[in-house]
Amino acid sequence: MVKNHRILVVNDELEILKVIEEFLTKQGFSVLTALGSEKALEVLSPASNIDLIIVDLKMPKMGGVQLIEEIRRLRKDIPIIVLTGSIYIEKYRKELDRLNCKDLLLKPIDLNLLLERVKKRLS
Amino acid sequence: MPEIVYSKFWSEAFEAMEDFVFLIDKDFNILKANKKFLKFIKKPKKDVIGSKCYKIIHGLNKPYKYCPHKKTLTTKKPQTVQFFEPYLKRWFFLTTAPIFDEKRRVLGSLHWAKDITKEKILEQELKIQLERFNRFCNVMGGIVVALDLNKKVTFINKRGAQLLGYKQKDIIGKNWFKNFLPKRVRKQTEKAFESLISGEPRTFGSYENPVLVKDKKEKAILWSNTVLKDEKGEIIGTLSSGQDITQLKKAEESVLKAEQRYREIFELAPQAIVVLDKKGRVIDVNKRLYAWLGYKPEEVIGKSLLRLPYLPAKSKVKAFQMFSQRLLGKEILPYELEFTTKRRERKVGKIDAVLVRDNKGSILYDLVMISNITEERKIQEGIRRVRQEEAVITSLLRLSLEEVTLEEILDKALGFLLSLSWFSFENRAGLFLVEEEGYLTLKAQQNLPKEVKERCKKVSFGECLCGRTALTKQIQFTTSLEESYSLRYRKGISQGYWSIPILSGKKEILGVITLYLREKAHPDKSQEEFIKAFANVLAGIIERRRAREELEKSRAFIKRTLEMAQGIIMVLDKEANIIDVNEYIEKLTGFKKKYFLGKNWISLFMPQEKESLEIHELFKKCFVDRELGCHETEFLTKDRNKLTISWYISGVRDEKGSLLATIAVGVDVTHRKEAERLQRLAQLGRLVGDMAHEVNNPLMVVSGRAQLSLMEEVSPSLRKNLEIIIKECQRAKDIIQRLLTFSRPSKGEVQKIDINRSIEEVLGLIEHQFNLANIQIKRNYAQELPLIEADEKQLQEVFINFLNNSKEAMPKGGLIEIITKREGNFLRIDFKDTGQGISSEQLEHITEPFFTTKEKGTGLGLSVCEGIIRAHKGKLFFESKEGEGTTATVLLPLREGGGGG
Repeated sequence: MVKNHRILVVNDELEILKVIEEFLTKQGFSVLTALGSEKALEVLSPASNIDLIIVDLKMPKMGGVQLIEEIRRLRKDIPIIVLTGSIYIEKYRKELDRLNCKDLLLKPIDLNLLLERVKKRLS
Repeated sequence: MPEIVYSKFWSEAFEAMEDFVFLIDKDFNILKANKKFLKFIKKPKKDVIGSKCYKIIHGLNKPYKYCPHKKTLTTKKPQTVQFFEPYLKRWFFLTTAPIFDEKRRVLGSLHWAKDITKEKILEQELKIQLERFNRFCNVMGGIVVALDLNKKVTFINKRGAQLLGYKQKDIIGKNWFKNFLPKRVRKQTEKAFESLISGEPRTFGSYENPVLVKDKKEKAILWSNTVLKDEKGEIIGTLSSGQDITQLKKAEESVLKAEQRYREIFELAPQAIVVLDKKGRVIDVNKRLYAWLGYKPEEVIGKSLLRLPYLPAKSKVKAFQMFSQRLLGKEILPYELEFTTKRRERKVGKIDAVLVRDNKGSILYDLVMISNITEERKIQEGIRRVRQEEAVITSLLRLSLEEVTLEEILDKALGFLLSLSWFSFENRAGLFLVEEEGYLTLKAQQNLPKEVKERCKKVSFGECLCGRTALTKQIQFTTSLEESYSLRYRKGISQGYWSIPILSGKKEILGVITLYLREKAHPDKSQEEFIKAFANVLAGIIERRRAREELEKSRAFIKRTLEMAQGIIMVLDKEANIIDVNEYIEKLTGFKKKYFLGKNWISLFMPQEKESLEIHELFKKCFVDRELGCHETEFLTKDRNKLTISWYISGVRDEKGSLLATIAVGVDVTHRKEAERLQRLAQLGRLVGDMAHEVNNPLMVVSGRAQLSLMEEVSPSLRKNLEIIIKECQRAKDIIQRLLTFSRPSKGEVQKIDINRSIEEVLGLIEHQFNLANIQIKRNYAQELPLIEADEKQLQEVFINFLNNSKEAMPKGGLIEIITKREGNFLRIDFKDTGQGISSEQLEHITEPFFTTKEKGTGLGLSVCEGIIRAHKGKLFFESKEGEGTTATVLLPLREGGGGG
């Protein structure tokens, strides 16, 4: 089962973090949240046993893409699911492909769809 | 005497009369006529007696005008009259005598007529001869003497008598030989006289014999003699006429003197005089001829006309012709002849000749007088020359005004120059121009030998004759091209070469004219003056031509510049009518230049009245205030592209400030406009994107919370509410998502597609649904259309959009016609509906994002469509008429980049 999988959710909006944290916790995941990229990098260390990261693309100071690049430097293979509120998803698609991020979900997301992707990546 | 006897006597006498006798009563009736009369009249007695005398004698019907009978009756006296009766053609001597009765009353008259015709004729002839003779003898300068056979003088004329010193009567009747001839010749002349009167045949001639005059002196007389004969042919005497040779001898002397005088005149005459014999040989010449022509008389006398050294060949012929004409007796007016002096100078003489004949008409000699008119001719020639020179200059100037090239002018200029006959031109000439600094280039020539043409194509300054002329800017003349000239032409022939510089107003060398002169010819001062004037005129023409060429070049440059200019340059009149425009407008609009010419700028570019007023103001400003006006207008090209043109309008004024024209410079700012629009769209897109992001986050929270709540046990009503919240969040998300498409910068997946098939695919999805809405779809596809490269999914989205719009425009149903065809380099697709249509104002904004006429529309559909078509480098436009329908048209380029947009 999915038990004991640790998921880090990065977002600059607290309410969104809360919704995702609540949902995934309910689904039995161990959820860590980071309000912004800097926080995320603090949490994230080679030693931290995080299994999946859910990243928002548009964040102040350090955007999602830059964060993912940093993540890839630390955790080359960790599954990353990208959320975005931007309509310009096409603009990021290539870059995300390069950074090995295959999942791009457009806000507002269907939570069940998110769960499906998470389960798929963790399997 | 008894009456009977009396009457018988009379009767016989009457009949015996030799003359014509007849009696006429007072009524002119012939009572009695003798036989002689009847015989003469040649009429029977019965016809004569009783007839009127005037009828018988005069052939008249009334009494004769001069009838002596009448006079006889009235005067009662006899009448005598001589008359010529034309009726009878006879002369009569008539005597009439009246006959009385016993009471001395006149009963009639007796006519006694004598025919005197013969006598009358003799008398008249004699009279005439005598008159003639007297006239002859008296008028004659000499002596006329008639002798009878007894040597006595029967006649001597007055002059003859005077000559002898006597009166005529003193001589007549005297023996001629004894009294009037010297003794020593008496015998001899008497012998001659006798032989003359004996009728011996002899030759008549002249004999010189003296006569003895009153003072016993002798006079030499030249005699000629003849015999006088009577009517029977018998010699009755002699007639001699003599001429006083004393006078003749004197005359001879005076003639001699006259000849001397003539000689003096001959020599002193202002004319040269040549005397020719009838064969045309020179008999004599005067000294004037020698003075004039340099030929001594002995060089000329004895020579025939045709061998005279002072006549050039042409003159010889003419002189001979004229001489022959004179011989033929034709009157010859004075004529001109050319002469050559011994020094080979040309002279002109006026000939006045006269053929002198003796009194018998034989030709004695031909007197030829020659007046020297060389100077006169020179002056005349000078005048003619000046006139012709003027004509040459005028022709040259006239030529320069014609539309001919400079080369043609130069060519003709040389021709003009060589046409001047008095110049000793050899009909060879060359004309050079300086086209390259320091070099002459041969531009025109006449009859230059081939080698000269080759050699002189290009001559450097200072080289040869022409080069020297160019270098020194002075006229050069030489009689031969010796060592120092690089050109050899007819070596050894002494010839003139005359080279004239063509100098500009600033004394810069423009070119050189070089002329070949005939042997020994040397141009004089006036010729030099002329050639300088000619060169100056030519210089003027060359300079003007060059200036014009420069001007034309710069004009051409300006024209090219205008044509090359990437802007419309229009010349407008004060009413803003288009006078001229550059060709760029054709490239820009697709309409031909002439489409614009004459049209009004305002009505063409600013059709709306409101704007028109505005533009009028603008024009006014240009005209009055000299301000630059600027305005933007729109214009639909032939390909139906909407152009935005930015106009800069300014007045063109002369130096005094008067308005000449208005120049409207139009710059195509369509692309800038489009760029601006795209920029605006991009800004909008960014805004929408940013907004979307900002909106999506709260939507995410709302939707997420709702989803979380749904995961819990909730009442059915709450569940329903939550579900609606989630669904509306999703809809908001979709709306935002669609904003993505219209600002999408490029095509997606490109492949070669068949447009008809693509449309059919779309129709396959919607046709059933449309038919249910009572909408028919009519296909009008062109077959075998080329494939186009396109993103099919995107194009289909466009088509669906059109179809949906049409459907919404036809709530009660209608027809949609789909037309595909090739149009130039484009593929054209029309979607034509029969819907309600939209207003032209709305049509302008139809593709703007968020513009919608529909209650439920987002206003993104057509802006998305436009984005797609633009990404395909195609065109999208709409035509609509309210109440009739709308046509949406897509033009897609057949080749990548083809047609551009």
